[in-house]
Amino acid sequence: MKQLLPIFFTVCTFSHVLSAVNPPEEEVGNGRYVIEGRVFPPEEQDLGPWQVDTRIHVNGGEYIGFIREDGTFVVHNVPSGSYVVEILHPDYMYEPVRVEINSKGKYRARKVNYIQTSQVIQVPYPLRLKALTKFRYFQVREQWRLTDFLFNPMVIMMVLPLLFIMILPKMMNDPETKEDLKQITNLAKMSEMPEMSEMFTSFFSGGAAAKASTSKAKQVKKRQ
Amino acid sequence: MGLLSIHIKPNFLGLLKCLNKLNWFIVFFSLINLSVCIYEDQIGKFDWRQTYVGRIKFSQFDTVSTAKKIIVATEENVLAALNLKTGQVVWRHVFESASTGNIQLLHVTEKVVTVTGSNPYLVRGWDSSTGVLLWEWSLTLQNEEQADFSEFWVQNNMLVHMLPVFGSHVEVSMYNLLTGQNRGATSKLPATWTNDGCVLSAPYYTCISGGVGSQQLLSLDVTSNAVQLLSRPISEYVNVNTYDGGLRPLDSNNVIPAFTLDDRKIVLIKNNQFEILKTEVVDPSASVALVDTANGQVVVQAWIDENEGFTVRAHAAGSGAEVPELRMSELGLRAGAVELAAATCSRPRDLLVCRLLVTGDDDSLHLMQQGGRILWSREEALANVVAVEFVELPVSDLDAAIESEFDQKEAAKMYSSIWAAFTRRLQTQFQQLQTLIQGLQKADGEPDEAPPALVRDYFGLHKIIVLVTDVGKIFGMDNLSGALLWQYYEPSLDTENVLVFTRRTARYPPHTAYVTIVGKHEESGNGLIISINPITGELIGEKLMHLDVQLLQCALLHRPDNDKLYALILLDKDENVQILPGSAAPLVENMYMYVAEKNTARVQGYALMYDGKALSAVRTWLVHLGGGSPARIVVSARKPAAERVHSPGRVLPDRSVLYKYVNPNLVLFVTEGPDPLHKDVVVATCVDAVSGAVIASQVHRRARALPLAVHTEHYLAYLYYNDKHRRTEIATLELYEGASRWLAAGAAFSSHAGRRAPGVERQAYILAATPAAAATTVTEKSLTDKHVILALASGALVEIPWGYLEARRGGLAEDGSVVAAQPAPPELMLGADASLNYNRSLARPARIHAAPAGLESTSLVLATGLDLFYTRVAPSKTFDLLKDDFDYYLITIVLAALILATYSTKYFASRKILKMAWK
Amino acid sequence: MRSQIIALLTILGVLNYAACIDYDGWVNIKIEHSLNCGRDKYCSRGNISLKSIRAGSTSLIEQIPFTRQHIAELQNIAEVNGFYTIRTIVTTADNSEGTEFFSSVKADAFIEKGLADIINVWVLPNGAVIAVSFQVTNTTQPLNKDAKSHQVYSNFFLRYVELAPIPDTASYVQKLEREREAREKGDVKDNRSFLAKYWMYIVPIAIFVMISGATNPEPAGAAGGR
Repeated sequence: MKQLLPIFFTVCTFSHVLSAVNPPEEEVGNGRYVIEGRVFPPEEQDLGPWQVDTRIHVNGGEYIGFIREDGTFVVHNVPSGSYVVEILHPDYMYEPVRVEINSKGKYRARKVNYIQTSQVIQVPYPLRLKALTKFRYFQVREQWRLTDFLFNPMVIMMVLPLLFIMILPKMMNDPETKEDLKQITNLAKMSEMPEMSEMFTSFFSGGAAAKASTSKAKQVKKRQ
Repeated sequence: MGLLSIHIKPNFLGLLKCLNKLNWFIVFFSLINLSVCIYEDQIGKFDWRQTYVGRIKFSQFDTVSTAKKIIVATEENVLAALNLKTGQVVWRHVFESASTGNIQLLHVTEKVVTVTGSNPYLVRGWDSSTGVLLWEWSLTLQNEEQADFSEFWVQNNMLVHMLPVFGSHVEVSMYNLLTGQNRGATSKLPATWTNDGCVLSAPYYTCISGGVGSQQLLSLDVTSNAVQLLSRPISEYVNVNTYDGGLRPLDSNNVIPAFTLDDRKIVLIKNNQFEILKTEVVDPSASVALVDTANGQVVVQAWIDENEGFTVRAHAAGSGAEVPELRMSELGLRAGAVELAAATCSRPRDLLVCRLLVTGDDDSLHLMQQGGRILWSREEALANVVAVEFVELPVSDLDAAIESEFDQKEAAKMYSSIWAAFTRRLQTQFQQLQTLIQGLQKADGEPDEAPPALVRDYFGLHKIIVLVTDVGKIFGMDNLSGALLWQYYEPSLDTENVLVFTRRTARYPPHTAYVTIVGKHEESGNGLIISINPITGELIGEKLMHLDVQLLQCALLHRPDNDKLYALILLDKDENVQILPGSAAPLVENMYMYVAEKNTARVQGYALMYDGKALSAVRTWLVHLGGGSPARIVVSARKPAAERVHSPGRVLPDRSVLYKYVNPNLVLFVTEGPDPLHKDVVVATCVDAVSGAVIASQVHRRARALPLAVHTEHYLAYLYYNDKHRRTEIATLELYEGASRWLAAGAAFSSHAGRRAPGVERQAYILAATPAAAATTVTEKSLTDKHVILALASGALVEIPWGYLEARRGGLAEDGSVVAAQPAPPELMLGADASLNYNRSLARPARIHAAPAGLESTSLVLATGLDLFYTRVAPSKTFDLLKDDFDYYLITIVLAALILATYSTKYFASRKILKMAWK
Repeated sequence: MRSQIIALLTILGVLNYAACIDYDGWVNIKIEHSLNCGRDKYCSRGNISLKSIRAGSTSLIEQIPFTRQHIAELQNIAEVNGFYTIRTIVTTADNSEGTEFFSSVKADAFIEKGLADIINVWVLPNGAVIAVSFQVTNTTQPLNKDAKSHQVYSNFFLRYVELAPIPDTASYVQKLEREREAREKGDVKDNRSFLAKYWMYIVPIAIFVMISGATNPEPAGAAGGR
């Protein structure tokens, strides 16, 4: 107990000293300053009066600024301190900036980093703020597009050989190949493999068709 | 090799054909999607937004620009332009909600000039057609104390600022309107006769001064170079003996300086002379305006007459003759007292056309034309909603008949005879057939004129929202359309900490739904109870009830009486208990209440006892959450009443179960207080409100509490501002019983049983935004996931799945040690796709209310603030409902095509076989 | 079971005090109840004095034994299912006039558990007490009704309000750092082989080549077969 008490007192005095050394940081200064800057509208235009839809929030609406025709803005009567300046537009995203005004009226603007709060990446002051991107609020409806379909690797894998099969014989348009192809088709007919369409037909038309198809096969054989 | 190719070829081609067919199926399936946020074509399908501006403070017609508008400045610190024809907001600027945004002056010419703030002031000029800022400059006064009595007006393109120092002098400064340059510095006019009853009717400053009986009416043109004081004994105008010092400026006047005296006489200042009008003030409560017409000035008076309702009379200022065109009365407009906010008259083709902008005591705004026609009305009370309740609609008569048929009690009577049951069945079926035919007829004929009947829909999505506003006006609103169904105005209702209870839903015909609003009386602070049928807006039950004592706390009894009505229990300042209706007193059992004192952080618990005769409250516990130091409770969050918990545990990665600590009596208190070492500390304490035991508690150093907390099931979250790192953080707590259950499944929880301390999981995350309101989604059976909805000061309404906020991440390994999950980013991602209100930003959001829909997947959400925004959310997606964009046509066409294809193939196949057979 | 909880709480206390309690001091808790008080509303039941907040549960509890009169009054309350309310007045070095707390237990449960209760006192890091709550124990030790006086068994726990966690930025920053280093060191280029990347294009071509290669010698074979 006796040992603990002095520790407590030292802590207390130490903190007192600290607060005496830099009191301006703790208390709100009397001076009134302005935060100035310029907002650049998003490139793709036809926004109408974008100035009306854009608001400047300092510390989440503690101070509010409005944009003039040319994009400049001034937030008046701000005491010294640290402020997050946000540009709010319903459709476009701007990066927030932290503006620090010390008690002597010196400004420093830096990027807002909530994770590493001590990290300082300075940005120019007066602020110059450009729209980063358009907010993507909506999901894009999946549309069936021919190009998507065609460039699908699976489709390419199947369609390309098909094209080759169809086009190549025409390219090699000599009588010999034609002869060959004829023979192939003949062979195909000769084969015992039932054709896909036939299979379906037989399936749909039932047992009677099955008989017919076998007779057909016989006929083919006979003819040859 | 050759043979091989022969075999391959036909197969390969067949396969290709087959796959090609499959591709169509792939295309078809890709149409069915899994969506998180809405599609662009769904804008406004499930949601609506209503834009408000607040109670009108200043207003002026903008007749200069081409599009006719009314420029308004409001008590909510909003500057807006309203379309003259429709009353819709053309453009709107929202200033700071603190005193820095207070609007002191609105002056409309080609440009709109406003003065906002309270020393320092900001003078801004706006383009009236687009609302773009043209210029602004700051004005700081040296004299701090008297600054509140400052008056501003615009004269000859100069901004005049007048600062009276009562009993001494008047300081007048003139500034260039555009630049703020002070021209001619400040002049001090000696005026020992000034007092706080003086009025300004620019540029004259008028006072009544002197001893009783010998008062003088004094007036001074403060802008003229030569100081010329007008002075007349008051006895020239009014009877000195009855005069009680009434001096009022006119409500709307931009013609010549004028004021009313003793609420009776109207005095003008013309040519530096007082001139009394022949027209007297008709009614003491009348609002008087001076309007410039082509035939000279007209005095317009408006008041609410007891018999005739809203009444307007107009008299020519010069002759005092009545202007008959402007005589109007409107019985429908009942708004307490009315005030003429602005008036304008024009005279196209020899016809006097006047438009009057009227504001009511209930914050409503009406634009009237002569003949008493209301062109449009705006309910600006809705800019300040303080309490919200979603109420179910009753079932239709037909459904009610069916329900009663299958009701168990009824059925017991019915099945005594089979014949009766049979006839009843036939009857109902006949009724159903009738309605079907009626429906068909309606569909054929002209579209239904009447609005859709207020009956419950199949999915329970249609509800009525009861909104209690700050001014004391209560509204019933259709949640699907946002249309107002009824309104009730109670001027004496003070809505600070108002509570709304649904005491009976519309589920029990013939009993009607029953909603009770518990507030305070504006003057006495005593309890004021309003009971209302939320479907029709009629007063029922206790109706309007004035209590003769101030209330501490009130609650609903946990069980209904024979009429299915939940009794209201009121605990008053003297710790006496009342119950409404009184007949429900014997039902009180195991009832507890707690009272938290906001400014001392003292929380007390009471047990309610019924001894067979009367109810009494016994104080059972008391805690000091601030621990003696001057702390205050910033927010308290209890679980939603009648909350269900769908699963008692949480499955861990190793398939064991961690049981949740689900204490229905748990209340979270977040207190804030000074600390000698750490500046401010925020203490969050979970208290069992029945036993007063502290379940868990944690402290944040160098932090400031925000009044935002959510609490449901076994988890809690609250927001605070971290002063050290200058960022907003959200702290989450989860309470667990552990690997085994404390109570058997289904056993009722008791706070008085021997307690054990639950395990507490804690976590904190960074929120890179300024939050303004927080709530969780609520669903009917709580099977669906819960999401936290945050309203941000930027105007976005974001939905955060609880999974992102979870205090407990990772799982338990086999040996029982905790395995850390991937370190999640400490900053919560608030993507644009999480935004519920897409680009419909909400100005100054204040509250979020969620209510369950009949569909388990869906929760209805209403955000209030300056704007109202309603939408519905499905945290686990709409698993119980087809997608609203489900393509019925496509599936019908595909099915039909398949059937057609089947039959045609069959036909062609048989033909082919026939042909083959002939060959 | 109870001893386990006590042990657990003691450990908790030991773990926390170092980080949480800003400064130490004595605490005195006066316990009062309204049984057998005669004319006064509350009279003394006992006293708990702690020399040090940090030392926690090692405290001195003095309580009066309950007489038959006490038990009778307690039973009267229990009959109407009422509460046995305890008033405590906490005085610390900073707060000499004391802060008043109330807590209640169900009278019937208190009798049933043989006058055994648990006292939880919650302390803020600055040493201020925010709550003193009483509860009956889980264990059952029936009351010997014939005994002349009954001892009250109280278990006292001092519980510290913990320091809340802060967002875990350090490990996240480290993780980012590690990822960045990894990116800089090893090239994460797509170093799959040409074949692995474009197999889906190569395979169809190969198949086609195979097919077309097969068709060319085929006529000869077919002719030979005939």
